[in-house]
Amino acid sequence: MSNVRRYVVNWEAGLIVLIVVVLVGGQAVDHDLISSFNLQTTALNNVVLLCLAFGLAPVIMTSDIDLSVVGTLALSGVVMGDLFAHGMNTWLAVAIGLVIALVCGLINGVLVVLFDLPALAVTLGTMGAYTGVSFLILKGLAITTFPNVIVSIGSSNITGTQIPFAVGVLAVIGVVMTYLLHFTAFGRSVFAIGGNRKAALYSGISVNRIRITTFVISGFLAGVAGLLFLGNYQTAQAGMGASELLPAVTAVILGGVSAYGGTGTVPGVALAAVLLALLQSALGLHGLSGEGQTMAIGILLIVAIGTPSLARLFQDWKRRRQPIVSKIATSGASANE
Amino acid sequence: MSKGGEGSLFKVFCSKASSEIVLVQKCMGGIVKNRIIRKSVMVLAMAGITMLPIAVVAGSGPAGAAGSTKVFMIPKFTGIAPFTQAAAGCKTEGATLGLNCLYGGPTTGSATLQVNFINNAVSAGDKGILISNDDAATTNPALVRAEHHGVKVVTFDSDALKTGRTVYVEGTSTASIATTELNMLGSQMKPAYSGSFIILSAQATDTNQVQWNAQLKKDLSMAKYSKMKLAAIINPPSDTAADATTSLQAALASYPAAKGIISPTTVAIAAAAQYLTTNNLCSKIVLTGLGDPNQMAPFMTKKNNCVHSFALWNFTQEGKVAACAMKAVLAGTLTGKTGQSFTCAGVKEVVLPQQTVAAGAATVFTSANVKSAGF
Repeated sequence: MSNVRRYVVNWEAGLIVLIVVVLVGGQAVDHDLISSFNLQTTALNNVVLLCLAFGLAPVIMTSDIDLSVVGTLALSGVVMGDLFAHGMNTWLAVAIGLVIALVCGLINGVLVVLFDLPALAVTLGTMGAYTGVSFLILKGLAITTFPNVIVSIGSSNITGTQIPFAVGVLAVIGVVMTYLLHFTAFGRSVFAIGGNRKAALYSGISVNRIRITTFVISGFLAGVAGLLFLGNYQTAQAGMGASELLPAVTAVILGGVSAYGGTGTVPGVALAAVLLALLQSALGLHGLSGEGQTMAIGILLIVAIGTPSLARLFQDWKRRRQPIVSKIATSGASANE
Repeated sequence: MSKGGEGSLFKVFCSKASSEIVLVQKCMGGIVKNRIIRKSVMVLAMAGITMLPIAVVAGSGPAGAAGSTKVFMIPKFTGIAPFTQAAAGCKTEGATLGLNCLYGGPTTGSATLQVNFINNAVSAGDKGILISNDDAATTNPALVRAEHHGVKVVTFDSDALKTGRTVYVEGTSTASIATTELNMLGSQMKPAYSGSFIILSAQATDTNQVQWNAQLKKDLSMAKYSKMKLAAIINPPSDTAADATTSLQAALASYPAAKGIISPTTVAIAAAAQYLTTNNLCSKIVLTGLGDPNQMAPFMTKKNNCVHSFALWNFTQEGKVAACAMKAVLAGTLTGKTGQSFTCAGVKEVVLPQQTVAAGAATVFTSANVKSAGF
């Protein structure tokens, strides 16, 4: 097959096609989809989701899962908010918040990998624990005033452009994650572990270290997501970000990361988040209710994970249609060997 | 799905990794063989299915009466009777005023999701936003941004911060809700107006709940209620029946002396009534608060008389008054200054210094009138 065809026909290309379909379709119907206000606000509302998705991707690639990212987001966000409110130096407070996020990820990693506990159960537990600690810190109250620089990072544009600053932050994270997962030995190990953990172990990859590292990355990026959340919504409370978990997982899976691990690309995840954001915006602009939007996204997800199986069925069907003679010939040949 | 070596990134990955056994297997294996077929099918199927909702949407969108002004009503969350009624009120009254009242909101009580709807309304060129806030602080930046784009904001049911709206239409006044709740509870306590009670509220950030509960706490200092003691205000983590039940269970364990429950939310009061019924606690604990007549009627029958009284105002009326307020705000005759007034279905409303309008009075429901509520 030609290189061009190989380049064009892949998952990422599929996502790009869908993004174009949504953009053209949405714009044709409502005329407001491609406006600087709509694109800016849509982007701002989805940076938190994408930041979480970037962190979740390597974890899911190693066939683990981290549900606690929203708990980590809340805890680091609440701690940062509380420290701002107590007048601490802004950057010191941010650093403390991010370190806490890192530690949250490390705790997950250690429990899952070293104690060999199921990731689903552990992170479900820590999700509750981290959210609970944030609740204890603020006692159910909310912090709503933040340093200007944090608000600027979260909601204003890069000077002289129409591009939100937060989008720039996400672009940098995306590039770093792409490099890390697709161009380094660490990245190759992540895919190898996701593909076959035992084989990876026997080929000399330090599986435990790599798996823990993915949880730490996930925690750290959840902390960054917390910072962006504070800047965009200007509120810190224990329940913050809770509604971002499922959309983030959706973006990762829709981005081509198999729920069984071992596959996927970072640009794919980014494209999936863009697709979800635009689809939601287009449906919302058309006056579709929350139920309608949730349904459309649910259908999209099922299609995304169902398509490979569908393709496999299609292949089997084609194989069965091959002349029976050739099958006999093949099996005969192998029997003679 | 770049399994092993598909796609552009994939190629780089495979060629670099060819020294590693595991990856060689992946790169050279059978996966590559049917890549084209698989991916073509995938792209076609995804495109097809994605077009489906778009096609449906294209055919079924809100028509928008010709010449009418589009305004968008955002509830705390969709799918419960009070907000559906408020939307109906806004639609019917809006139709007579030349407003096309669109309705949509998140499926769960989430302020961050409300922000999406606020932004969408602005992008769609709607002239006004009517919103019941999940969390005033979270929605405020988006509401302020909307106002900068010339969109007028009227809050109903649950207020925003003052910078984020022109006027607030409350179902009935905060003061009357607090005293109604205390009187309903106190009169049923034995001995009357004495004993400890808890408030089973909603999410800690719900503006209206916070206001009512704060007013109620203030009122407790009045001589009439001096023997009533508020043990705790319970804020379930979400506005769902399940969380309300769990929180109530924990609260009753922590405060075994509680003789009464005030639940100022339609979701939690119904959940509490069910819980008390199931656990045979109806005779020991008085339950009252704000409820939806349709939901509460089963607990006010001869067989199950767990609840004796609760209150609510007419949400349809609130939706109507909100539409009238929006019309006046859009016309520029209502800007939130003291003394301004607007008319609505014959009712003359005066805007108070708090920029707040009460839509009507609360109705107290007992077994006598719960079936004939009509809203």
